[in-house]
Amino acid sequence: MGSDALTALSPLLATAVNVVVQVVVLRASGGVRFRASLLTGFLAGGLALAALLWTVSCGACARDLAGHALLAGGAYAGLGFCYFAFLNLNQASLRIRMLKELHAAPGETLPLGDLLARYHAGHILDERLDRLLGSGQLVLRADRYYSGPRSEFLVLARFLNLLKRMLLGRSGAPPHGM
Amino acid sequence: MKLALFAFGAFAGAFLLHVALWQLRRPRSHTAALLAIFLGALPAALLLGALVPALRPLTPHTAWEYLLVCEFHVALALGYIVLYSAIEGDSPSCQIVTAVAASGARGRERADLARVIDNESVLLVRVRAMEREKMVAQADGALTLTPGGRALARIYLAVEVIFGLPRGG
Repeated sequence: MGSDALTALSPLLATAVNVVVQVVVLRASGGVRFRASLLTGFLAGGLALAALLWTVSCGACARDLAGHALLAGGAYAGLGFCYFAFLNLNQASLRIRMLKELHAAPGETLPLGDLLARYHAGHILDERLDRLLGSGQLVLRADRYYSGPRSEFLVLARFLNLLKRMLLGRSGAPPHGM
Repeated sequence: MKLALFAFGAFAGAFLLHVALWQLRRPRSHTAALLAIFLGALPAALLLGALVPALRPLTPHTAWEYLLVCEFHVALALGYIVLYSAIEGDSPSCQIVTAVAASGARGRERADLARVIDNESVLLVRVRAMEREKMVAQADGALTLTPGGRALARIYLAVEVIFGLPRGG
């Protein structure tokens, strides 16, 4: 296979490595280490991409290689993000959860009140608080929640709020004094 | 680097068009509009490259270069469309960490957070969005899955089985 072909196919091959490694790690952990499997898969795919680009680097001039590597890296990151989002939706999306509840209901129909009773805001709040405490984003002291030692979620929330203000003219932040 | 410049330019052009259109009027079906803008931008950029002699050196020249540019553009476009759904919706987790961070050293009680995460802001907004996207239909106060919603539910139930994941949400 020529170096141009290998460069062009490298994001797809690296994404395949990402998926296979992620599935193997998750299966090996009995479905428990979901986030670790996503990170491991993405890093393994990134290493595969770097190895493929290093292999073709001998035959290409440095300037072409830099541009092509930038495109291949961007494509790999984009595909990796889509794969992460696809799997993460299954874990985090309220819409997907509601669709599954409806699918399991007789005639795939549920009164709205029943759906809200099964899956109400208090239940969602408790689940999210558990997850955020478990991942170190929040800490609980004397029945009060404080920002935790890890702040990835807060950084993400601020980034999304910035885009929300730019595109939609509103912020997702709670009102002051809340 | 010329090819990278072309690919980044095509994506940046699509993004700027999206921002400009959203300032004027936001379309009803966001996902379809974003797909049309971002996936339409690449053939438009290639056509522009073919018609404008000054741009020709930047455009792809071999089938493999076309493939690389397409992969880059489609991957970033799909990634952005996925991200946009997070921009549009208010994630409960993001709302919680933002509210707690805003409280500083005082912290928040659960009851404070329950005022942010209520049925209207978290669930009913999503029910309306699912109706708008024709995933569910509402009649006489009951929700029913549409064929599109059923297909999506089955895909995610299959993912749950394949990966052995617990029920999320």
